[in-house]
Amino acid sequence: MLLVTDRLIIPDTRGDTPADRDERETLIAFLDLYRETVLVKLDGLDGEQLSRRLLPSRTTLLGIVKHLVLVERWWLSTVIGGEPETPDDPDDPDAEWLITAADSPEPVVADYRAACAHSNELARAAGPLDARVPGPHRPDRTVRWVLIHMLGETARHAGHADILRELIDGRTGD
Amino acid sequence: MLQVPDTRHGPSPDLDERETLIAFLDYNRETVLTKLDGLPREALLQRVASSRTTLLGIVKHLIHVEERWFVAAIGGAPMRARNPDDRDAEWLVDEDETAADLATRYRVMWARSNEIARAASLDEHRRRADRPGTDLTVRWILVHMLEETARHAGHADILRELIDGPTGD
Repeated sequence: MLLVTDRLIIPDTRGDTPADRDERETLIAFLDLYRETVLVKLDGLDGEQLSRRLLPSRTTLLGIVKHLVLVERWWLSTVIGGEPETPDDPDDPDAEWLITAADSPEPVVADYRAACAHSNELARAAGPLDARVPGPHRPDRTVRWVLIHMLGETARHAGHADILRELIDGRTGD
Repeated sequence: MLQVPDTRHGPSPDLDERETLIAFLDYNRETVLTKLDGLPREALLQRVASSRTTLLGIVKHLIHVEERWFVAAIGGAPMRARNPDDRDAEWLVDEDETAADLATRYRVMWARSNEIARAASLDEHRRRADRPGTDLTVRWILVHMLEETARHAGHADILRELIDGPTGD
């Protein structure tokens, strides 16, 4: 459990996703919407609430963000960008879900935002969407497949965050 | 007790834009239904928080969402009016609506949605289902349906875990 008593503040800066973009920019716009949606679900909560376990699994609001940082790095930096893989903890491949005293909320959020900005650069530089990714890790996947997968995965985790938030303090909403 | 065999398979990487979106959408639609597998009706209608969200309520809501966005917004059929006194009435499951009926209605609806999506060009413009007067492309609507369905699949993940513990894809 985290004993950070300051409340995390995440202003809701989301707007409508633009309706007239091409395929790549539409996917990036919706991805950005969901990345921000996950963060907005953390707004106003303190360290104990952000790391509170309400489920048999390790899922917590802050754990979702830590997990999504690794998801961004894997699919965008490594699979699309060809950058070196971030190694898993060999004793616990799901270690990112555990919240330790080192996981202050603000740096975790900053890490996620930085990973997302880097992901967008790579997604825009990646060449045609129906081209295979250049890296060795998932050579059969296309850039399109990875971007759509990322949107589905981020939106699904946003759904997890919706219910966790509702259980913590009753807040619901988009 | 509803049985939903897991027949999902990961979307192929060799599809064009439209078919990739439909394949991911199908994957998430099936995911929502697999979350209902093996549960008795009272568990499917169990509320875990203060809102009306239940596993079966998610399915009923998604049938309406498919109808609003595919049949009405893309297909041009008249929009079914929402209950003005309770815009979220579609989350409430009636006593005579069985889980099997709702699962079948959802599958029939999404097959129709896919036909409608395949008959339109992704760059064509349509009126918004939720905000008349604003234009959207068919592409936007398909991507929106994918994220909305995936988000509800996330709700279903947590509901199922709170009801009886299983997690999983």
